[in-house]
Amino acid sequence: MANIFPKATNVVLMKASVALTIVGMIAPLAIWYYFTPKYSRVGYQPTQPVAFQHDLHVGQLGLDCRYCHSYVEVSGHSNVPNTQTCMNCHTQVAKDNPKLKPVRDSWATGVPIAWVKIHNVPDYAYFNHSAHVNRGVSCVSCHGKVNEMTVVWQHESQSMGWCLQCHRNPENAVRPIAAAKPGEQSPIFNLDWEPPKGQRQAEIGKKLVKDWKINPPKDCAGCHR
Amino acid sequence: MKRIFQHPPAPKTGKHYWRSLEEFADTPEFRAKLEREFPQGAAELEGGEVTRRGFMQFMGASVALAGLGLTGCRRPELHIVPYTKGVEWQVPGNALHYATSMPRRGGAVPLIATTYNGRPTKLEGNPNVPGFNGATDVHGQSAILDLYDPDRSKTVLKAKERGKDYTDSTLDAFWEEFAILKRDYLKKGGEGLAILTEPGTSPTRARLRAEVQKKFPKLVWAEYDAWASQGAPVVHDFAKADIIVALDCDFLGATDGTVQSIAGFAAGRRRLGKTQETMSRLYAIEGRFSLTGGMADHRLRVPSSAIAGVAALLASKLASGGGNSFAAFSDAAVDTWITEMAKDLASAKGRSLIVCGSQQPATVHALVAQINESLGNVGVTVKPAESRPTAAAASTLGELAEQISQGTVKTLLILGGNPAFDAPAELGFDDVLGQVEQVIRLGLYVDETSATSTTHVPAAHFLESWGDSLAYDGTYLCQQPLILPLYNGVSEIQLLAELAGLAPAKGAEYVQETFRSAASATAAQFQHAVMDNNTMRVQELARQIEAVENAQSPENADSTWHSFVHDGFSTKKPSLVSLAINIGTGAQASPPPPAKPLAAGEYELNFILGSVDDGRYANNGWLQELPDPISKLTWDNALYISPKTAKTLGVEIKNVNNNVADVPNTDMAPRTTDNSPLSYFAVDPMTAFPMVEITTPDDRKLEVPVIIAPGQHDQTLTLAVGYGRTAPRLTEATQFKNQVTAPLRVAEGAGVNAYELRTSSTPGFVSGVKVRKLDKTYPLAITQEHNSMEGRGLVREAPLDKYHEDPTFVQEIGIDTHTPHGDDKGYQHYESAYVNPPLNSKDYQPDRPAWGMVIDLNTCVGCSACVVACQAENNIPIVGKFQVLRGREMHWIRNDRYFATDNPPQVSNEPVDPSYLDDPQMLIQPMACQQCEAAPCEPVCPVNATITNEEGLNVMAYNRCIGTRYCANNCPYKVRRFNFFNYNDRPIQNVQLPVLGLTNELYLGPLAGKDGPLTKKGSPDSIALQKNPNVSVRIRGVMEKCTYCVQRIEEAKIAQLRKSNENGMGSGDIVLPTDGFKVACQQVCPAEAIVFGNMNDPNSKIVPAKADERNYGVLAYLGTRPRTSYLGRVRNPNPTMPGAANIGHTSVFHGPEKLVAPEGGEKHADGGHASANGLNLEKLIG
Repeated sequence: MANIFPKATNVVLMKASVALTIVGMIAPLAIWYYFTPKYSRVGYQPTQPVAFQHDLHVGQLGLDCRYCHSYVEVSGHSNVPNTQTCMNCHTQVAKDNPKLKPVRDSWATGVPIAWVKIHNVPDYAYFNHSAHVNRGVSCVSCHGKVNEMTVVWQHESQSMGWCLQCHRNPENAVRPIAAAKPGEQSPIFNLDWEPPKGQRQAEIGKKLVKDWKINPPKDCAGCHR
Repeated sequence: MKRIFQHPPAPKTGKHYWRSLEEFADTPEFRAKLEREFPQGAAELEGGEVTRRGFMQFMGASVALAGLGLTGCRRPELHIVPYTKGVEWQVPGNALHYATSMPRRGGAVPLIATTYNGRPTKLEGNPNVPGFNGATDVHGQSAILDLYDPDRSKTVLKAKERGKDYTDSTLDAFWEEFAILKRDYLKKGGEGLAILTEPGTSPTRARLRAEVQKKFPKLVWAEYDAWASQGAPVVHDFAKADIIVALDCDFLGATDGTVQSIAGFAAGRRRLGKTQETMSRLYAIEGRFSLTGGMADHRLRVPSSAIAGVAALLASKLASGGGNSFAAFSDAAVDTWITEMAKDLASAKGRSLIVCGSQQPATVHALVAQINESLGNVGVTVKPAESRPTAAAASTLGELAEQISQGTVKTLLILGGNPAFDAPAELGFDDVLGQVEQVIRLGLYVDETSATSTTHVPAAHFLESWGDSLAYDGTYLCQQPLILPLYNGVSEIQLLAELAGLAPAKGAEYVQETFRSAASATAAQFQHAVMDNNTMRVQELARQIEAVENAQSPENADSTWHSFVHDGFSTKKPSLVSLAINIGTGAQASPPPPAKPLAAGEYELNFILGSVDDGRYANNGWLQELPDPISKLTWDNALYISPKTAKTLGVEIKNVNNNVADVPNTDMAPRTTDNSPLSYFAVDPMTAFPMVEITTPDDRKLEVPVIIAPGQHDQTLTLAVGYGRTAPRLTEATQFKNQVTAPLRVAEGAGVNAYELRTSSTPGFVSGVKVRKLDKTYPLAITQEHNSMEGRGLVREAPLDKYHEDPTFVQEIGIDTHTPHGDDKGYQHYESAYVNPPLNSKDYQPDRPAWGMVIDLNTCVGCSACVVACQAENNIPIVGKFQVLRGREMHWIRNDRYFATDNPPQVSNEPVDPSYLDDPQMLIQPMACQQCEAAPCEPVCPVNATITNEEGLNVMAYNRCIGTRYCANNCPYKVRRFNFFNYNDRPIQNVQLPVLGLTNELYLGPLAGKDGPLTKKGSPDSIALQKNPNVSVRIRGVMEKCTYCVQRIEEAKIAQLRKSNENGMGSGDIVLPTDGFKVACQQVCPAEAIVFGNMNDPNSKIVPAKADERNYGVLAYLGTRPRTSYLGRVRNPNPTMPGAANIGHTSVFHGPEKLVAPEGGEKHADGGHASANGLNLEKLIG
């Protein structure tokens, strides 16, 4: 009898299954890595309607975070500033700069600026800024060195696992709230703060956790309401 | 050939997505790019003729670029949009609270509204105003939904064809028309002008009325309220009463109940807790089973028409009533009953209170007032008449109707109310209105009255307008708007001020004026008092003047006003008379004659109020879906008849096989607009209730479905008013154009209109009605009809003497007799099969709060305010009638109602003799998630979506839930609720859709989106404004349940964390203040029956509550260790009263000596089982 199938058919099945197995192993790994917040969110750097530069305002000029993000200590949201906050200075400083035109337009027309949201925690999880900022967690722990960013990008994955890492070991992130010397900026809002010479974050953190009875929620109710 | 991609220039604002081919094609750069990459496709596109190959390439390109490639894997771009200029005080994410008040029949209720970002989301009571316990009731809670009702009237309507066709108009056009009207009537002195409004307690409105009447002396001012009291208004103080007698007065329920009456009554019941002193005693004499009857220690069934006779009998027993003209009630059993009660009353002079149902005739009210006086109650439990403000006279509706028919009224302004719907039937008021040339109607909805008008003006909701009012005891309350009128509504005060020719107000000017003028009026009175030598009055007024003067000194001229608005009420009471307030009784045209007693075999029809009040809340979904506390009926009203009457009429609820065809004539199934019944939805035969036709003596008929209500008098039939509303279809108005659904989407099709039978001579009851069974059925949505305790002792009670004898009686009821007693934590610690890691682990910190709740069954009256409060706080959707028919109502807390009969029902399958159901007692038990420490719902969740946290809360993570529903299956309390559909995002009514035809949008899946290919999105935007931002809004497929308001718990904890850093240095001061916050149900309860707190805090109120001897956990023997426990109910029977031996003895204790043995029934050998069985309706079938 003539061969119905070409000779290559002998190995097709084996080759196919080997290939499928390899793909079947690589695909989940790829998805596992590439689809996690750590890869898909970190580095997100959208273009904002106004080319605001944090490195200029915070880094060079020395604005405190709270000048604009004013409610971070009293509210769950750390707000982006009103146009009014911008115009506090920019009615005089750089008042004709074309980069600030959207701000001036917003001020004139009353139409607010639609900033692009970078850090997005899903709606069913409730994050409260004031609970963290008042307990020794600095902005840099979750947002990175914003004072060095020209255009803000997402520095941390802000996934639930990432949150839990810190919630389970808060001593790795808490800092003193009071500045070491009066008149200095609080370590919470001083994004360049380093532990003083001779001390390590872990020991500072452990002491604060004990003194302040820091006990972050590790159960669902802490964030899921 | 290598293709070089030239990327388009960076977009100016954020990421760009190519959305549609048109946009795609319109961009010249991209077209150029296209040319480079796919020359053929581009050429073909420009050329016009697209070949198949080119099309495929083209599509392929767009797909690749449009976002199925890697660029499309990014999440969509979201925006944060701040203000341009900040709003004072507003912090995004934090709530602001403002005090206001809700104008209500008989006095306003003070409120505190919670607002987020300028919109109110929740209403609470104002705890600073005495007498209200900081609580509200069901109407106060649901008023917020009325504000955001999408069916509210939004535009001015002008009639093209009155009643049928209206066009939109503008407010400016209306004011112009109004100015002309004013000018014309000014010349005539107001002749031909009439105003019809509702009775109210607003001093500002009274002042403006005076102004208007000055300008238009011949103006007719009429007031009408469908449920206004027939007697003179009285202020009661229930808290001071040791004995309360309710004569057809449901002062705990919807009909005559108010926040203050429930609060006062609960205060009297709560005395039990303090020492072993006695608590108050309640006698209820009524025809139907009301919540008051449920709380009563003794209950006498008497038809409403016989109340007059009963009152006369009581008066004669007390030897107080002289010359009463009713034939005293002649019935031996009743005579004994009243005699004993009279003896009890006589022994408690000055400490008792007789209350009379508001719709009883005025003569009965007068008699009751006399009895109260003779018992010495005036001044103690009944406030003296002088403290009540005098009412300014107003015409009644009947008088107005007469004037209209005489033709003397040319223009009628109807401010609020809905007279075309709820006017007495004999007036035929909607026709009467048609006779008036010009009717201007100011209303919240386009309703039946608007359909008779020539101009309809949208009204501003009370949450959108300035005003003031008096509470029931005369406390002066402020009403401030929480939000600008959503639809440019006009408030009553604005309209009156405009009519009076006063300058238009920008804000609170009218109210301020009233506030300030009260002071000067007081001064005038002071002069009078001095001249009259009335020293007491002089002193009182001097104090008032001094207080006001101090506050009104130039430095703080405005501070009094500001503190008035801030506090919501004035601590300095301006003289009530000086405010010239107007609490009209709204009495009917002719006071109804005293009813003659019913002959045997005659029926009377009793009118009551349901959750929609007199009909004004019929479009409020929360209230429609709120189960009636006793019958558990939602979305309809039904005629309640007693079991014996049912048997006499041959009315039975058939338990046919589940064969839809057996259900005769599903004609009464809810209809669509084209009048075809929804056979689409099979009507479950168990929900098909028989129908009867009622005919009143003056030949008015009504067809109505029937519910068998145990405990009702055999000659009484009860029907709630306010249902059966139909909004007019006004075709031209843009608000309703193209609308295939009804204008009042929630109210439509709900119930029957009882006002058709109600006349001004029969406001409370109609004697001598005839009933005829019809061969029709109607589906009624009843929640949780089948309750069976099966001896497990879910609700526990005992009479007072038993409680004194054995304070831990709760532990000897039900299956707890066989189990070990509890430890000092108050709930039984049984060995549990479920070990709870967070609570048992070595990491557990005992200084964490441990949340617990205790519900006192002795003070809970069943008003169901907690149900609505929970719904408002936690974004719980309404599901609509058909879903309730399938048992899918979403209320997280429910009130289980148990009937308790003296003799246990038969266990065999023979029908139960209805006489068992003649006189049951009733118990109500609120049931929400018990937050079990060892919760059976947790181990069965395949994805671990529900866990117990260290604080004892059973926590639910909605995003993790995959909808297995095993947890609900395993929950012994059945408190878990599943979102079978996307109730928050789909409308609950039927709509006509393209492609799919008539369908219920609930059934549409995820493809139904705002821009979805098949359908449109359902839920109206204004409803989204009400949602609490601190609580997730759940989607289809997710399980939910009571969370102990975890959002409030976390908010309190976070607030304390903020506080711990007040010094800027951080601290460990994280201990929560004792009882620093309340959960929603606890906050709203007028009776303060719910106690919630941290059990680890020794100062919290929860600790003594848990340690109370009456404390028990429901089904605790299962080892669930519920954190919610209950305090057993104690009844206070009068031992000399007939039948007292069996009151509260619905459970058999060890040694049933006191119990009347059932005839032929068995006595349990060990005597330890509860026979408090729920009523099994299936056993009722003939």
